[in-house]
Amino acid sequence: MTSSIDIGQFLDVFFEESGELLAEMEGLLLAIDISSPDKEECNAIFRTAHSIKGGAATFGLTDMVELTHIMESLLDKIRKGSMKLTEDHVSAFLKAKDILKRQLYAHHQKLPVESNISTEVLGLLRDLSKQSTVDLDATDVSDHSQAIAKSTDEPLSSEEVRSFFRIELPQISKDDLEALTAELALKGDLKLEKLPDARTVLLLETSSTFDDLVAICSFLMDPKDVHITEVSALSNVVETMGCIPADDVCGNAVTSDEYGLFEPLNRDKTAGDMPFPAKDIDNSIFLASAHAFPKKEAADTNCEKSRSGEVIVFNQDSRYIRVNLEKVDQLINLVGELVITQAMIDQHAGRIDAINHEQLLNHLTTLARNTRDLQESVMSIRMMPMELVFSRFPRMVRELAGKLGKKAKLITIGGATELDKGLIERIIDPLTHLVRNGIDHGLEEPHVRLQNHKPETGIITLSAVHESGNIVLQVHDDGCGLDRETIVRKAMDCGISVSDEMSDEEVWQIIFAPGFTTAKAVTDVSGRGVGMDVVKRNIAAMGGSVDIHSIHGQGTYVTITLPLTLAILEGMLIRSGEEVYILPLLVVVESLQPVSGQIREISGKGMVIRVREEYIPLIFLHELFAIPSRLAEPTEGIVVVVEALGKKAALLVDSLIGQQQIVVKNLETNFRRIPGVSGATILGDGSVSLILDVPSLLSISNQLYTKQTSSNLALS
Amino acid sequence: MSEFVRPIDEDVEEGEDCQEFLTFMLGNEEYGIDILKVQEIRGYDNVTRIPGVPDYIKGVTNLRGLIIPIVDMRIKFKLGVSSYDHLTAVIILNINGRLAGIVVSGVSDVITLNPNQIQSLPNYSTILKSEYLFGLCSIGDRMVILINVDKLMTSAEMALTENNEDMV
Repeated sequence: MTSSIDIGQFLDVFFEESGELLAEMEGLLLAIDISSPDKEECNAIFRTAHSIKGGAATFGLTDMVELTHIMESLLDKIRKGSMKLTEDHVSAFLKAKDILKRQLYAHHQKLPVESNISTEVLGLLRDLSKQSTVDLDATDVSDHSQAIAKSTDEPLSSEEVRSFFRIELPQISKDDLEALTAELALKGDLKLEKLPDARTVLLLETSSTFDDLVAICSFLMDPKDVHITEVSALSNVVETMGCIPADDVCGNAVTSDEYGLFEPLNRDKTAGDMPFPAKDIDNSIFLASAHAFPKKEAADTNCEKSRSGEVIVFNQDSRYIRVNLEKVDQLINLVGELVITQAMIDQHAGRIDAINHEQLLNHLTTLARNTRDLQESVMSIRMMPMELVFSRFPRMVRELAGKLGKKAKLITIGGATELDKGLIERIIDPLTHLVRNGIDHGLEEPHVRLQNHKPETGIITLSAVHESGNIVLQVHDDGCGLDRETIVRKAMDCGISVSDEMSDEEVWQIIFAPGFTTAKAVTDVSGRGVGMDVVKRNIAAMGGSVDIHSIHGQGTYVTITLPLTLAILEGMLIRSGEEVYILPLLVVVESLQPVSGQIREISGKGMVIRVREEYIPLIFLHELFAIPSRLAEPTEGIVVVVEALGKKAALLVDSLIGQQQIVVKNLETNFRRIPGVSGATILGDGSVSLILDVPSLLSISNQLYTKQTSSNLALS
Repeated sequence: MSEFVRPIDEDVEEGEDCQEFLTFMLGNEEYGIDILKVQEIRGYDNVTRIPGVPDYIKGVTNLRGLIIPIVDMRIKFKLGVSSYDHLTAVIILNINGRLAGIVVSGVSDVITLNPNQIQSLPNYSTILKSEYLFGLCSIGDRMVILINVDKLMTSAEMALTENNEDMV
């Protein structure tokens, strides 16, 4: 991603994802078997660190990058086996994870980041990565390095926020108290004081925030019963950080007396028993309003915090929920079924007397509208903007052009166009390939461009538009265009059959043939001759098609047409014999009733049909699928002209039934792939109907005729 | 107490190792399959033919929104007459999460067997290759052939899974 794109929109996603990655990292770290770590687990931990680093780098969160980078290199050594995993590593990583979490939180809430919170753990990690083999006692090392880190840090760290909290507890059970003290002890230095009425006061020196402590306490007791007071900190800290000014705190202590009246009686005496009297400067600790009225206290503290710019959101509401894709798919399927049922009801409603059933028909119209809206919103769950794909390209174009000594500029159009998530992920590779090709083969060297009266900088255009239920992606370069002669010559070299009569479009299709390349030399960019065939195969597998349009000397357009989603398609229902099949409407060009003069037989090539001066191979669906057909003559049936991968064919069927939206189900879930069939659907009557796969039908029928021809030849 | 006499089933001894089998008829022969692989039994209805597959694969059907293949065992093993009416039984199997229906001549019984009751196979060729069989057992004067349905349904011979496209 580059700065030319507004990355802000992805920032939330980054926070969300990093949070999950951190949680995942922690889970993995805790689960890992230190004596014999599983390689996969090490890799998984490495990946989490790596992903966070990548994201953080994108958004310029350098503190997180620094930390993840050092973790990453250490993890890399471990996963490659050049360093043995020890308890130290795990605890250091866990510590680093906690720090990352705080950094992440701070960035998310746009809080000033405590710059040195990672210093300690960074030191720890650096120490660890210096040791080639760790044979020291685990706890010793970590304690030791911690101690070093602390002793070196503290004198310098005037900026460090370590606050002092006085936590006045209600009467709680001994178990609860132990649990709480154990928990709080993790946060910092803890001192216990007993109040005369058997209640406990905890004094905590910690870098945790007020809210952290509230959160911890609320696990064990009602937060209303706990009085947590920030009692200020070392004066230099207060000054440098601009935290709660000591004066303010003292002011509080004074003013708090006003509230004494409202205090519960049993607390009256506590003021005198305060462990740290307010004026005990020797301890460098100011005690403020320790016994003040709790609510006012909390409000004050919050107030101070917001004044010093720390806005802490108590309930961190997440704007995203992560849902298993399967659940979404199930939802889409169900809505699909609903749409179909609704369509069936509509069909029946057409036959109802409109005057007597006006009400019913009105309601049905509403139902139809609601169903459509529902479908749209459900489908939009899976939809993602093409920007996600486009954003990878500017950098790639820059680097690649630089490497090849060319000048290139990328223009993207229609980044907001949405596409199904599944397709988004699968379109990246083909598009990358096409863009690379565009730069490598398409764009000329700057001096050649100048000679040809073109601007020095070549332009690669990536565009995405919606077009009648499809998304059309285009990769355009204003380079030299495809050279028909070269392609034809190379094709012959590669043993691909070519003829002079081939149309330009057919010649361009040759570049999709496996093993075909026109590059003079194999580079690491392209020229290996694998790629274009893969591009085409991948796109065909997504139910799309690729077309090339090229003008020599002016540039090349590669156009990819994809269905918006794989889950639902507009289908044409056709009947052959007793069987009902579905043709994706995308491939249907037209349908017509053939007349006898139109159909000709070409020896050895099967039948063709002439449609407006064009001869199209005729495929008898019933023959291909061995369906007992009622057709005696082709003229009794209907011919559907279909087009796929730039080839046209005419499919002879008994009749057309109609057109409807269908929910695509795949056969492989419980069965396997069937040649000529791309999937199946369930019709309104509950029966299964197969969806025809036109490209594969074409190749089957070709094979069939070739076989027939060769056997005919053998006979004669 | 005497009125609560439990029916004595001589063949069944309750125990940890006991396994339940669903038995069905193919022609005159009785076969058994592990009942844990059976999801349900239903009638033969609304099967859509699939082009270009062996004749014993009758096609696919809609099982509550799932599309599952239906195989006629009577055709596959050339046992019994294959006719289809509302009494034709289809056993829906769940083999590692993949569903498939098998058409049989009739579902007969559920039997509980302990390992001692399962005899190893006599070394003669049956219609089913012995690699797809568990063994034999006799219940009274009936002989039940126990099928290893996991192996059978995922075998290349049945052509129900992805790795045998070249069958077509």
